[in-house]
Amino acid sequence: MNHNLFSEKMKVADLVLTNYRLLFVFPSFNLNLDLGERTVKQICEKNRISTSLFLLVCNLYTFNDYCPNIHTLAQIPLTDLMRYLKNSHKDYLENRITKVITRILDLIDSCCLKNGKILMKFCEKYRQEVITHFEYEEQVVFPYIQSLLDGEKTGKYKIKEYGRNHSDLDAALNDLKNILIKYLPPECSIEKCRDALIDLFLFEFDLSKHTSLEEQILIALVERIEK
Amino acid sequence: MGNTNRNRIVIIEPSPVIRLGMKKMIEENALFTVTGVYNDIPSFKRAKGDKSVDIILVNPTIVNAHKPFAIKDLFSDYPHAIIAAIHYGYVDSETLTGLDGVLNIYDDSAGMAKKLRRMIKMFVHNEEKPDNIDLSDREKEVLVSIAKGLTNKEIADDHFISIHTVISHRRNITKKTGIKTVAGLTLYATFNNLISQEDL
Repeated sequence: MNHNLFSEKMKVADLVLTNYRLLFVFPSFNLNLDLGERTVKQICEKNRISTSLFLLVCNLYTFNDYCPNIHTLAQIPLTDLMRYLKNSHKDYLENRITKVITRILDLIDSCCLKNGKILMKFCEKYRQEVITHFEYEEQVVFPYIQSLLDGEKTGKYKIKEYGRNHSDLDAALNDLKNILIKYLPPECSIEKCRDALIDLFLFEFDLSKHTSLEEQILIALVERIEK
Repeated sequence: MGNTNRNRIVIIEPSPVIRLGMKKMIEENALFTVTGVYNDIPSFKRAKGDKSVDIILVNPTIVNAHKPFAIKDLFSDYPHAIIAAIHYGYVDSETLTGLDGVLNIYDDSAGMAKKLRRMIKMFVHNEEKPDNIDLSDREKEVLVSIAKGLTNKEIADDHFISIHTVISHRRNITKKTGIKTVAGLTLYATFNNLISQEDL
C-alpha cells in the first residue's frame, strides 16, 4: 500500500487539497502557506524542515493504517522531531485547547446552562492535566534524549519508563464528547454545540496522532540509540 | 472472547492445500492459533469442533445450496464466533456481505493477520457496546458515590457490597454511558440530575 503515500516529489498544495487537516500541522513546522507549485522537497529545503519528518507526519495524519518501516524511521532526525513535538505542545495549549474551551463557554452562555460551572471546572482540570503532561515531556523526557544525543551520562532513566507512564489524554476528551452529544438540554443552540464539538473532534484527532508520534516513533528512535 | 490468549481459529475448506497453507500462514502471527481444519461443515459438526473458537473461516462455495444469508445460521451453536469467508474464485457479493468478514487466499500472512485483527476488533466493539440501556438504581447510587470522589473501599462500605461488586458496577456504568474518567462521570451525574453541582 506504499504506492499511494505522499512523497517528496508531490506538491505541498496537493497534500493540503487531499487532506485539509494537514493545516493543523503546519504551525508546528513553522511553515506558512504561499506554497505555489512547489514540491515537498523544495518547501522543506527552503524552510529547513527535515523532508523525512515532514512526510512522516503528513502520511501519519492522512493514512489511517500507515506504519513507517525501519528504513523510513532511520531517516528521522530526533532533534527535529522533538522540536516539532514541542511546537505542537505550544500550539495545543495556546490555541487549540483555548479555542475548545472558549467554544464551550459560548455554548454555556447561549443557554444559561445550569451545570455550566461544573462543565468549566472539568475543562480547566483537563487543561491542567495537559500542562502537567507536556511539562514532564519537556522537562524530563526531551532533556534526557538530548543528553543521549550529546553522548553525556544519563543516569538510570530509560525511555521505556516514559512509554509505561505515558498518560492518556484522550479519555477526558471522549467523556466530554459524550456529555455534549447526549446530555445537553434542548435549549442549547445547535450551532454553538456544533462549533464546540467540531473543534473538539479536530483536536482529539490531532492529539491521537501526536500520541502515535510519541509512542511509536519517538520511543522506537530513542531505544535504538540507548543500545 | 479471551483477549489475553491467542485468538482461536477454525478453517473449513475443501482444498487440503489451501486449508493447510492458510493454517501455516495464519499461525506465523503469534496472535492466532488454528484449533482445527475441516473438509466441510458436517465434519466440523461431527467432530464437535472447538467450542471457544473466535473466528470460523469457511469457504462459502461449499454451502451454495443454502441461501447466502443462511450461512451464519449453520453456526448457530457458535453464537460468539465471527464467521468469515475464505475467498478465491467467484463468490457473489451478497454471500460475502452476509458474513462478518472475508479473507482472500492471495493475501500474504501479514495481510491475513491484519484482516483477522480487524474482524476481532469490530466484533468486540459491537458486542461490548450495548444499545443505550439506562443505568439500574444500584448503578445510579454507585455513580453518585463515584461523583462525590469516594474510593472503591468507601463505596463498598457505604452500600454494604464487596469491592468486587463495586468494580463490576463501575465497569457496567462505563459500558452503558461510554464515560471513563471520574471527572466525566461526575459531569454525567450532574447533567442527569443525580447530583447537583452545589453538592460537589
